[in-house]
Amino acid sequence: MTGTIFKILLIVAIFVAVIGTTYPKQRAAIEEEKANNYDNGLSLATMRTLRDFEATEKNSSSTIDQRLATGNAYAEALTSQLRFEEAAKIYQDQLALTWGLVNNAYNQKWADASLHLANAHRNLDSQGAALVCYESVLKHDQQFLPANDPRIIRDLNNMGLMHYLIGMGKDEASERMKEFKTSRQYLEQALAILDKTNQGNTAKATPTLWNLFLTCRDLNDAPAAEQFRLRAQTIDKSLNRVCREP
Amino acid sequence: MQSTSPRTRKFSFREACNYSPSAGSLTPSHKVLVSSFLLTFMIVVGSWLLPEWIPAKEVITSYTGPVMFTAGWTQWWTLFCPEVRNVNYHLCALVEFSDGTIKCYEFPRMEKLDLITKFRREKLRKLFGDNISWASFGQFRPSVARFLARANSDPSNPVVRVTMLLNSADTPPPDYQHWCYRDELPAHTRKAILFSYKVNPNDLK
Amino acid sequence: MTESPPKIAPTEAPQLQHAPEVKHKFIDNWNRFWFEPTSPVAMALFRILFGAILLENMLIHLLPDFDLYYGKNSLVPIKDMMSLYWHSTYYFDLMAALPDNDKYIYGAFWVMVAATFMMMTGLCTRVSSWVTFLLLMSFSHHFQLNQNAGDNYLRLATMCLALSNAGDALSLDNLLKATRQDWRKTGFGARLSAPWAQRLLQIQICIAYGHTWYSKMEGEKWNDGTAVYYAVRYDDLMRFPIPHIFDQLPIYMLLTWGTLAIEFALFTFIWWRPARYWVIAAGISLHLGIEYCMNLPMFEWSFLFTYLLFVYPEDLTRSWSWVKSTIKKRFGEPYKLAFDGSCILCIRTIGLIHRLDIFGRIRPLDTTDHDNDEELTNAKLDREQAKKEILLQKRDGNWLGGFKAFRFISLRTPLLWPLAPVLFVPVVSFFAELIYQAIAANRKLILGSTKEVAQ
Repeated sequence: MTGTIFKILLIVAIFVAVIGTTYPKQRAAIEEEKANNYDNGLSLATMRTLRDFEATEKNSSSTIDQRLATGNAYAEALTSQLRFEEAAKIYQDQLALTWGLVNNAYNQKWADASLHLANAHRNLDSQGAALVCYESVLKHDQQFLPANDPRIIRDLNNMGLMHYLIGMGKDEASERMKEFKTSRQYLEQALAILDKTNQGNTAKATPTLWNLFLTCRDLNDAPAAEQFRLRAQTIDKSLNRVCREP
Repeated sequence: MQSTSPRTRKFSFREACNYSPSAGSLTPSHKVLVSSFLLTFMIVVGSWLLPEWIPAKEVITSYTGPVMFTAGWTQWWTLFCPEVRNVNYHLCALVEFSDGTIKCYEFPRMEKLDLITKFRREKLRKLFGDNISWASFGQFRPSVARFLARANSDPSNPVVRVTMLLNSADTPPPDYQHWCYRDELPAHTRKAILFSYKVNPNDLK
Repeated sequence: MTESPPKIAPTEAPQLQHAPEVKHKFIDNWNRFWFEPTSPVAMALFRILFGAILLENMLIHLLPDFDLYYGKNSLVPIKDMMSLYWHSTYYFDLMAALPDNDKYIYGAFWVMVAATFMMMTGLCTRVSSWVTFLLLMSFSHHFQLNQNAGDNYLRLATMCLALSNAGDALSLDNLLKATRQDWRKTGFGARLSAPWAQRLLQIQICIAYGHTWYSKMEGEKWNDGTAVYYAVRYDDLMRFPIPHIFDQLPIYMLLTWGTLAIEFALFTFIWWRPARYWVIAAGISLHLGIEYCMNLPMFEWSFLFTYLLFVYPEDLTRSWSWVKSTIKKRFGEPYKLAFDGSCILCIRTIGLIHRLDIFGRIRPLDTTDHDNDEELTNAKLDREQAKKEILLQKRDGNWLGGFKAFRFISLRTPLLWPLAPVLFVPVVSFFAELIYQAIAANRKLILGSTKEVAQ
């Protein structure tokens, strides 16, 4: 019996020692979380950016850059709250605001607003509208930028991804495949420019390679998918990041 | 098998094969100690598993719950019940970089893996499919988004936003007219954005 | 017309007298159920099989994504786990108590693997199973998001193993103890002891079945018979295909209600002796069916292995005797092994060989036991030689002695197979022969005869 009691006490002591050591860390983590609670932080950020946005909008002397900056900050906060419609409205207004800024030359501000609007439409599941926005940016960039410009690679990648996402939403297999094929064409164009500019084995290429992996896999082209996957993985591994996607 | 009291004669080999010594009966105090433990276990676990409609459950588990969690007796046996889900789904994340490039990351999809990989990595299904995909585990999504941001970090083109997307499809109900065989399930065509996280520079450190 | 006897109104007195009896009976039954000494063999078998599942869990399921779950840069760092999941609950997590460094977490993991292996083989069983339980619990609390009902069961069953006497049979502990024991006093059977931890695990599995059955009864699809139709259509869980001929609603209805019936029986009728094995058979078919259709590693097998605990000890013995007799029919009579019963070293060696010889391929015969005289004489045993070394009779009637006999035995005893190739290496066999002869020649000087030391 004494032996049994000793064993019980030993187990209890282990529990007490471990929990006793852990508990201060636990309390500290809870306090830190309370201070930096994600949802509270988001609400505060939304209120703060709304206040700045309204102030800038009401102020007739505010510049376009100021209006864009506060609008972007507020729309970002709204996006984090999944209030995509309101965010889209802000980006829509930015589009009108920036449209006439530059004549017959590259309009960076308009392109940025268009991209933001495209993302907002995508989040709203308005795939057609999102595609129109991405496409208009691509056309604009192709018109005014050198053929190998990184922004064109970005646009081709995003067009490819958008077609992939549209394809994912189709019930009919033939329609899915059609979208996936278009997606692959855009992504391969992006990859071709990356390879041409010696960026095919850098971190810049990994988003396109991973997107290509998914597209080819869903096109049932397993060998191509595997090839893109291995290529993307090799680059990712070479970057020695602290985290690795499973 | 024979078990007898202490003996004086030595066994032959054949006898030894058929003999088991006995540790004897536990002492009464030992029995009381063990019985107390067993009763505690059964009360603690029993109260935790009581149906939700029992009014006293909340009160009882406010006392028994802490014992259960600390002792490692936590348990629930509700796989496939009370309701079997009639939806299939998978989780994606759209990782947006500062230059506007977007990458679609697909969390491990068991149905796309071969049998061995699926077997080895089943815990990923539990993690992403059974937990992170559902609102009851929504509090962990910022951590997941931060992880993805770090896993894609490129100092010259950092990740600025991670958007988590649930793709799903209802399982067609059993209907003789439009029977859907197990290997002909519809693709996950319905989309819903679960979470969108703006990445801070501190998240990438 | 006769007068009917007056009805006696029930008085309180008999009831009061009855109450202590009921109480007494309850205590008796309670004591019998939890504490009546029984064989630990079922629990030991469970320990071995369950240990294999634990190792599978650790090495196959956790290790490939270890950093994702437990590393410093894990998906949900421990700080977030504490604030978002633990809240103010006291959880046992050894790793959280250690410095925040991956090497400690990996260290804890490999200690857990080693402890599990030791528990499975029965080495320092009590300590190793406690270490396994505490670390398993720590890992499940450290990252709770990859834990399913199967993991809960692994943890609970490991606790029961740690509380049990599972190391009293089929274990290295038992084998090591045997090298210091005289089996003529202790016998070969595993020590009988109070089976309360085994009973607790039996109750635990019944709790699991009871709770799942009740929860299912509340579900609409379980009542209308379509639950299995939907369950096998979880595309993330699919394993092997179901032929279209069986992919039919009536079959799913049968399976749905059959599942409810089997799960009900698994916490009720399993306690009724005549039904027990039928219920277990139904449970096995249920779990194997799930195992075929669904990818739920560990879960089904850990439940299936628990059924072993419901097998009555005498049936386990009978089953093993059947295995031995089948092997005997296939491979012939066991080999005779003659030993000197007056030598304690020989007795301990024979004890060790007999415990390792799980299929009963060796039949030890004590040369000092007169009951064996006729058999040994007929076998033409050289009694003088038998005093010097153990002797084993081959099929051709010749006797092998000493090291060569042991080497012969190692080929016929599966538990010695890992050692057998080494014994055939010429250098090893040369030195082993020399050592054997030296010990055999001086064994009575080293340990004395049985008359001197074994009393």
